[in-house]
Amino acid sequence: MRIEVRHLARIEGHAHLVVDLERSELAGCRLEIVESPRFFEAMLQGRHFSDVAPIVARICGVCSHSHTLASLAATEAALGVTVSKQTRRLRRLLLFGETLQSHLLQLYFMAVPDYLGVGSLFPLAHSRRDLVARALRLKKLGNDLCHVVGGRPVHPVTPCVGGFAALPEAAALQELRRRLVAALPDLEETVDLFSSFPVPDFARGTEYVCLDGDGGYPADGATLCSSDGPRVPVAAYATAIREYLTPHSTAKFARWSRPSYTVGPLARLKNAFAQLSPMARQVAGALGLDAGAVNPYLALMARLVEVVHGVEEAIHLIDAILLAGLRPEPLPEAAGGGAGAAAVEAPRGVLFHAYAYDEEGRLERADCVIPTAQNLGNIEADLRALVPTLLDLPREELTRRLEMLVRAYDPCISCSTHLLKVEFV
Amino acid sequence: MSFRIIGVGNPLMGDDGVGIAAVGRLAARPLPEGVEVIDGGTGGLTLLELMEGAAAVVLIDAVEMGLAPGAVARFIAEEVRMEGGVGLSLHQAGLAEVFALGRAMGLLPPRVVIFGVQPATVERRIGLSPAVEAALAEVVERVLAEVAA
Repeated sequence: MRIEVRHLARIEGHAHLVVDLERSELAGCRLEIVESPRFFEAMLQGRHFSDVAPIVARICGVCSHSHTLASLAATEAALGVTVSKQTRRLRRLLLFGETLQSHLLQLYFMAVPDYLGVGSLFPLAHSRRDLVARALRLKKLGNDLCHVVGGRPVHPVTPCVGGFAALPEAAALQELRRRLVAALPDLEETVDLFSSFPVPDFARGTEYVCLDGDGGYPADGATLCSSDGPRVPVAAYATAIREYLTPHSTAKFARWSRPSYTVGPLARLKNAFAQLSPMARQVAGALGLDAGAVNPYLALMARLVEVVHGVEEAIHLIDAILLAGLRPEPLPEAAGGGAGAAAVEAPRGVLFHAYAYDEEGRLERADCVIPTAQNLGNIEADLRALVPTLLDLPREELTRRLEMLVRAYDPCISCSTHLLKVEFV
Repeated sequence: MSFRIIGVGNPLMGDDGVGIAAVGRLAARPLPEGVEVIDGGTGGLTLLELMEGAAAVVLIDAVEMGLAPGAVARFIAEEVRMEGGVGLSLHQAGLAEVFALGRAMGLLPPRVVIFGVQPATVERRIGLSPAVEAALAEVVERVLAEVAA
């Protein structure tokens, strides 16, 4: 007998799962979600460096800030441009803003239905209005943070090569700070809700990969680190991370020290547990998480811990920015050619962009490695280990557990269009 | 009274970017006081926030209507049966999902008018097809008339 799940719900893109119950194994797993960035690499060829980030910002509506900031940092590395402390702080604030946007959406809109036994959040808009209102309120905070710093809630316009084309108003940052503090009761209720969810039991340790936060929590950085020990400069990522093909899938897989590794909230939390804010560490405890966690389902809880950390660090970043005095800075001169790579921690994990420019500053080569592509091999390895342990479960429950595992990774297509189709009635 | 004109879509996906191109043109036109032009991109559910609190909203988007490429249609959500995007993921939710949630939570503005443009092709490409490019002028004039009304 086989179980086939086609078009798994509440993830982005298309995923198909096939389980062969007679041989007690996963007969197939196909996540058709990871090939698209290649097309954008071709789209960028011949573009001037000043046009690259605005194009990249449109790749994805969920990770537009991460793509923009990885792209700008890669261009700056290629052209030898260094940015100011104020720019670094504002960009870090923007990354936390996007983490809030994306994580809160996944937590409330994708994961909550699994644990409350509904197919989507829509029925809850009637039965649990308070919950949906809280979800929208929290998500709006992330959007407003991105709006104030990046000039738009999605597809940011203020970050540019060398810094920022426009700075946020100090008063707007102060107002954001006030609202971040005022969001704490909503976060407490969120933690109460999630701590009541029974996370499925499953243990499978793997290689956990993230940027080294250089004393802080991973968001930006120049060194890639693995829980297995290796460290490599981001500029040399392509020598460490190997992409490869397997016969059963059309997607590319990635490996470092082992056949698969994972990136994202659980990897960051484990590798940088000591760098979490005090409140986030406390929340981690309440959610059953520590640096030793090896249950991939707990990525969900790690996401919530990162939301708490993000709110706390955003408050501190705003304080630091305002204390130093927000001031317009001349953009450094950028010209000529060169090659460079950079990475940021996108909500789903480390995101690489690498470019080579000719003497006139036109793009010759681009490479973009997205988090979901890096997680794909690990999702499959998890499923292969998990399926044999669940065969006693009723078919429906088995299917639900597998879907929840895939959703715990929050896989996301990196480009998408949702063409509206209407029928006049 | 705030009036918002919001273009949605992805300019890297050919004609899916028509809403973005249209608001680009509208932003360069003189507009009555209280009218705001917004590039909504592919923000999904964020669109709900972009609309929330407005007295009236005009949305411009590429819409598969089974018409000739470049055809422009004006409608309100209640006049159509919507099918949006891939499922109800709400990650990068389509308009259909945004309307469903907005309606359930009572967050939709009292007046939301959609200007749909029939795409010729939606594929990975920067730039509009000739038919849709030619429709931009009509979209801009009709939206301006809507705002003035």
